[in-house]
Amino acid sequence: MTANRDTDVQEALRTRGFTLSADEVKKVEINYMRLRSIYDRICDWEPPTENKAGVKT
Amino acid sequence: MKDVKIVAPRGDRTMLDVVENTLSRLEERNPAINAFTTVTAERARAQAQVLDKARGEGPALPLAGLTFAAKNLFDVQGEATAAGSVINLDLGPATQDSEAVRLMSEAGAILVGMTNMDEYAYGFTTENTHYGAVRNPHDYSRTAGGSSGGSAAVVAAGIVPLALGTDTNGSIRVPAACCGIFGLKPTFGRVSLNGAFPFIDRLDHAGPFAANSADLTAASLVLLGMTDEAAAIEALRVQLARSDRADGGLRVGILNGYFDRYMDDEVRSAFTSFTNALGTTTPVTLPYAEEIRAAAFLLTAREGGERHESALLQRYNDFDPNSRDRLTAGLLVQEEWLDQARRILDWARNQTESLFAECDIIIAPSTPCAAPLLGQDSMMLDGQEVPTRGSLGLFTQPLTPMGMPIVGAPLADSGDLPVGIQIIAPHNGEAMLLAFVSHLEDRGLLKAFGAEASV
Repeated sequence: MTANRDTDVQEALRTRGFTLSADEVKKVEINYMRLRSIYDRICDWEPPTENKAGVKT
Repeated sequence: MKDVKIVAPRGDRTMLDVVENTLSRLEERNPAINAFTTVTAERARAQAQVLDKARGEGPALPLAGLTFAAKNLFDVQGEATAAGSVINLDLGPATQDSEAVRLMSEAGAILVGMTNMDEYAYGFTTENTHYGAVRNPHDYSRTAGGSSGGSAAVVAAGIVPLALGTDTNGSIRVPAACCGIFGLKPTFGRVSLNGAFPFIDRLDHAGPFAANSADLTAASLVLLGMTDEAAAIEALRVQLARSDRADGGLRVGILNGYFDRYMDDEVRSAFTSFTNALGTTTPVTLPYAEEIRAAAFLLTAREGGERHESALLQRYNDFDPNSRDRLTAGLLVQEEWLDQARRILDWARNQTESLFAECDIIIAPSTPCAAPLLGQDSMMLDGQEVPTRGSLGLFTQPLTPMGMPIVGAPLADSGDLPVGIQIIAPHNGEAMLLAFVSHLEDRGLLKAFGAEASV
């Protein structure tokens, strides 16, 4: 499952008590989008049953 | 500054001579690299005088005659611990030394100052808006790495032989690589973080920097509480030297896959020369390295944000913009994301046994490229444009959550800039790791960049 696409960064920040300018919110949003894309890369990860680390022959 | 010389006490020199010489070098060289935030000259002179008076009495101190610097997140009695911020200055002077500073001092090392860092240790380039960027002693236009960039730079510049740093995602190993020196990230939990301003509890480590393996070993043993094992490590080194093989007869693996893919040409050339000289070609795989790094990234963002949430709400504009936007975004990392990150990190922590099933030591590059230019926003890796600052931790971040001891070490054979490698041992394998690093230095495969002489 990919990350929730509907997060309104400005609203989420306001809910947490932040009162930031539009420019400041934009900068946070850029970083938030990056974190979201990072989560998208691992959201379906499951621990392998046999794919252990180590020497591969 | 390629003729770096580390000056250590010899003959009849007093500790006060050593301190005064260190302070002279600091005054001469620090303006160019901007690595010190605080100079503790009076403390250093006072400690030197105490040591000089006690000379010849009691047991030999393992770090006697060596000066050191500490990243400005280790408490130093009477000094404010800035942690790269201006906000923390309001906390006032520390009432006592952090445990790591205390251990170094009691072992005879003399603290001469505190060093510049990324704000709250959140970065890989030490481009600090409040205190200015640390410049690489080997090329002032380049980063010294981070977040312990000041500590690495003062050792690489030959100002002090030892420095303390911390490593959460690579903050000892990345600057060690950029500055061409040695640094130890110990086994997780083995070196005390008491009195060090925290970043991420699950990932924080404290460790030393040095310009050669002997000093690295001496400081590491003090911090690890292993000074009784110095003779055993020397015996191990001698045993390795008896082998006719460059690898000392150890089973050395090379991390492949992810770690091979992202090296740029300069790093690949130096790394390949090293592995060829070592005679080691055993490939070792860390599956899901990219996922482990992603998990560490998310955990760091969320827990870093939470740690500073109160200050962000009250003093947003007093933060360094380089960390503020990321810390605030981290607060928005959702529980579900964090849970998944923790699952991956828990899994990774349990992979060390299989990773070392057929190896004694594992090698990987430290950074995908040599030290980038200060202010460089992006770089090309594997045909993709990636952000410079975060990408410096590409090879260190997947390994930190596993908790293994890792020495960041400079390759003797690099180009115009230093190239570093990670030398990795199983948990609590510091003795063998330090002996092996010393062996490789003896073999001429590792050497501080530009070093002409060492202690």
